[in-house]
Amino acid sequence: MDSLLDRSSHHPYGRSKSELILQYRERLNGLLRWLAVGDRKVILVLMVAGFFAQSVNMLDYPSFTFKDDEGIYAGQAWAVLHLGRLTPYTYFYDHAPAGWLLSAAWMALTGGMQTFGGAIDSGRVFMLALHIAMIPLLFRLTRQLGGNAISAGLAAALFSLSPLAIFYQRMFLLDNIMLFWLLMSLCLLLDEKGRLSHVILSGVTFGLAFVTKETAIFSLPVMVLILWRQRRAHQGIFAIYSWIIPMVMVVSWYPFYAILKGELLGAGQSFNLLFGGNSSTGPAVSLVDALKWQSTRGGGGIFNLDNLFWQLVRKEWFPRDPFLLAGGAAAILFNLVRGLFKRAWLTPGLLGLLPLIYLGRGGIVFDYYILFLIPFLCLNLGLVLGQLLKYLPNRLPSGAALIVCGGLLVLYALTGSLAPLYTEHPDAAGRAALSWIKQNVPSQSYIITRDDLWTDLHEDGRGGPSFPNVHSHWKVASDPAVRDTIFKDDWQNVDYLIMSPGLIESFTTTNNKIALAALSHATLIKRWTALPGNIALHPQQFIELWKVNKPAKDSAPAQDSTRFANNLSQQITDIMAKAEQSLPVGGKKTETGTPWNNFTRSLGNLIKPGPSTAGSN
Amino acid sequence: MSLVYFSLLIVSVLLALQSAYSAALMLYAWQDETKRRQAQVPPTYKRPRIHFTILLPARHEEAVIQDTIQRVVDLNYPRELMQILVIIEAGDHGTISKVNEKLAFLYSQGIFNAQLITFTDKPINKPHGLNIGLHHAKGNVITIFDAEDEPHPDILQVVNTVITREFAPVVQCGVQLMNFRDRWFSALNVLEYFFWFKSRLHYQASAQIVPLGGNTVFVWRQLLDWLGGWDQYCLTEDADVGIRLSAASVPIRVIYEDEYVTKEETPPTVGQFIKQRTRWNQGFLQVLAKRDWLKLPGFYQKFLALYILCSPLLQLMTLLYMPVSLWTMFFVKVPAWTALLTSLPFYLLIIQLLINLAGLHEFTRAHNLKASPLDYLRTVLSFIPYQVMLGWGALRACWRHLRGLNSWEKTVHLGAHRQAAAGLPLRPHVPAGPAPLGSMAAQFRFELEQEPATPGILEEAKVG
Repeated sequence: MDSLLDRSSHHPYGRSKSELILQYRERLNGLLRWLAVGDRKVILVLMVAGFFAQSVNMLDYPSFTFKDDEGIYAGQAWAVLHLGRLTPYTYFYDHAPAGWLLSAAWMALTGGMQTFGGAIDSGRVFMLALHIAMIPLLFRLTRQLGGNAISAGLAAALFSLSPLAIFYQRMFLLDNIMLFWLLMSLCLLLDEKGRLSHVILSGVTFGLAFVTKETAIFSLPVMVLILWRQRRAHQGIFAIYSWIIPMVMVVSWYPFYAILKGELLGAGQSFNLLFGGNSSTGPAVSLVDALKWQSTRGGGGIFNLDNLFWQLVRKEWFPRDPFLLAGGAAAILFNLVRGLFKRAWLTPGLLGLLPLIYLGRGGIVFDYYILFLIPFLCLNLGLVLGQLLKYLPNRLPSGAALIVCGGLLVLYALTGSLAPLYTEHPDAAGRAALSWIKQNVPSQSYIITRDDLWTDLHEDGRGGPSFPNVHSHWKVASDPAVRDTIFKDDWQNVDYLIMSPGLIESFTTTNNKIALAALSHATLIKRWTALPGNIALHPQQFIELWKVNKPAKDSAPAQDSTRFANNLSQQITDIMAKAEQSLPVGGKKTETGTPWNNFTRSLGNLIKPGPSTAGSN
Repeated sequence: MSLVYFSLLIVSVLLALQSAYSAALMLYAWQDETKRRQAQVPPTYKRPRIHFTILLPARHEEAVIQDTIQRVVDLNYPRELMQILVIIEAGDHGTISKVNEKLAFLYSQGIFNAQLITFTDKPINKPHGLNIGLHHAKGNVITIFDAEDEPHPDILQVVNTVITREFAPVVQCGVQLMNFRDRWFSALNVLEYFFWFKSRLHYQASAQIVPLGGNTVFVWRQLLDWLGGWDQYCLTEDADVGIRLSAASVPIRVIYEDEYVTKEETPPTVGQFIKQRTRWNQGFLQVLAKRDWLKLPGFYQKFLALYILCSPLLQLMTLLYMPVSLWTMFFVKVPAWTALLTSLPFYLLIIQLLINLAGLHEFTRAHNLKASPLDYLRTVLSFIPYQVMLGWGALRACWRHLRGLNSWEKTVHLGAHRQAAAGLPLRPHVPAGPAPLGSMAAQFRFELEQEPATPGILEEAKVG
């Protein structure tokens, strides 16, 4: 009867403010408890360690001019914020847009694109935030998949400290955002109380992972396996439906968007006619064609030991971290084998195997695709190591885990893959070039560049006005709206070219006649070179500014660029080689950093003070 | 024109939100293990101590009333603790003679706890009958069964256990339509009950705002006396009592286990269905107009009550919005993201359909029935027509409510003096302040202790 009285007087919706605060504090504590299956303090320490390992020198290394993918996504986030469109150029469904929509939201919330320096820098800080968020997720996931606290701690530590992981996780890439959603989805699905709401949210987050980067689909089989294996009796068929339906709903927005734009199927296919003539306005792009293109980009075939995958293993991934790569692969194999006898181990094994299959399938693979595999390498290795250490006598295992971590760090330092992450500044060339161009080149010039400088040139600020006529060389090569409408298929409409390593090869492979012809008529104005570091891990960065020399207005029209382009790239390589010899390397420091940049750099200098200068002349 | 799009956007987002909310309520029971355990029937029964008064209001039920009385008499509970009152309006001679026949038969068997009560005054409806029954009730707990009901034989044991253990003042047990194959709309109607009693009601009980069902609801007699009985001028007197009890901060216990539901049948024709739905919707609108829900203690409870009572209007709006949404998506030149947003309610309609299909699977599994692929197909095909039918019922209710306001006022005057003579309030509202549950519980416990122990029944009898 007393309980009855309590129930009637204690009304859950008629509570006083202090009671409400207590209630919310209780909820917050519940959230923290939820986050920490094992030891909350361990997770906190791991997060702090992860923060420093990732953030120190993260804007300088790897250089933002190293991959133009970062620049492409920065440019697309820029387009979302400034143009209210998905891309600055025609969107051709190369990837689903959720990743850069989220990045644009991040930039808007953090006070614009230049809060942390350039647009790519802002993206990198976002990656840092996601990495910190992924640490408890990976910890929790390892616990949920049958690991002890030591397994979980080791997995999270490897995830934050491996030079391989740090190198790629610092970069502003869709893969990192996708992984965050994927880990979140796994954690929610493995909720030990089996709450239906978590199953639903897991479906939603997996859908978000897919519309961030389609490669997430390779994890679908193991998600379904988990879903099936741990379905709850009392939830009946809802245990399965509640994951699949929200997932499909989220994913369906992508093709639905294409349908609305009349761009689902290729040009000429009848489906477009059903929904009005929207597609007739722009260049013909389509989701299905893009998916076909993405899935058939060749990489050397699956049984070819010299396909892209094995090349990358040898040249890019193994030198950075042989321990994680070899150990993780062995652990995946081990878990798969013992998974045949005890089903619980099959799940982590498959989580590792599926991204491996994706990478080794023989199609196109870029070096940063390894990101998809890294957390699952850590997970499997952590699981196996943690269980091995458990055989040690009392209280020793946790100490041994620390020794393993310390030992690995020493090994990394000895192999030389750790130091460059904190001491080298290959971005100096790009930053110096950017500020010089902003100050000295007329802002209305027509410039062909790689995507890494695109966004910062288009954005007002960083030492100069906005450069609206800067265009990406990919688009000059292939987008009719740029090639034919803006440049009118004529090299004489180009004023400057900003060149960086490997760009000529790109011009040649994309058959970029405008750029090649312009370059052959250009002279080198200025060259910025970063100090060389460990060249095996990060190629030396240089940026060159070339000015196109145009014949006087009244002279005869220029040569036909198609005929001209054929033997051009060899000529240009010769020109550039000459230019390289004639220009001495070195000079005064021209870098002007933002507060954030200075912060990360000074943290780097604390570890090992080194030269941070860029050559300029 | 942009203003039109803007309002379209707002409407579609709001409709999507309400649809998602309703989907969440539908799935509440499956959230986790604890939800199911709370709704479970106790594993062991306690000694029968509660004296039940079972009200059987009937009108033109010649065909089924004898069976119903037999079923209630046969309930697995000591007869001396059951008072069965069959309540019929005096003009319904057919049913009365059937009941008398049955009672004579029961007397010949030595069963004397059933009794017929007739009334002559207006209005001739269920709540009036219930009030008459309440006047004659002798038990500590009142319950209601309708003439077509098939209660589970152990239901009184279950409720006796729950009430003596928890001193729950109100218990609502599950009611379930069963004939999911009879008509094209049956499956969806069955599922509506399934989700309502199995899931939504539990959520509403936890939020302490429950519009009660029409039968298999158990209430302390003194609590009903204190409330002033049922509202004779309300078309959904059950929901009205629920709202008033909630407004008086009375906790309501909900029990649902598939095996223990009271079984009912869907209306036989579309016409009957629409009539029934119109009556409910109009009843909800009346409850809304009565404004008792404004006395609910919390803001969220008020919101939830408003949401439940307005659901007929929301159904109607969703239905009307669908063609607009489709049209905007494909035939109006709007930015793609606008079109995506206007498609949201459409998406959620599909989710509702899929939840219903999963529900059909769960329902048939729970009752050892088998749904064929054809049943699923029929559910898919009838989904939109069913929504149209619900929308039509809602529209009809609104129209009648607006038009019928005057005649309804007249009915009030018609029965006024008789009502007053019977000592009951004309249109009972919530008495001021929360119900004095403490003193009622003391009284209730005292009454229970007066009941003689029934010989031959163990204190804790195993189910079986």
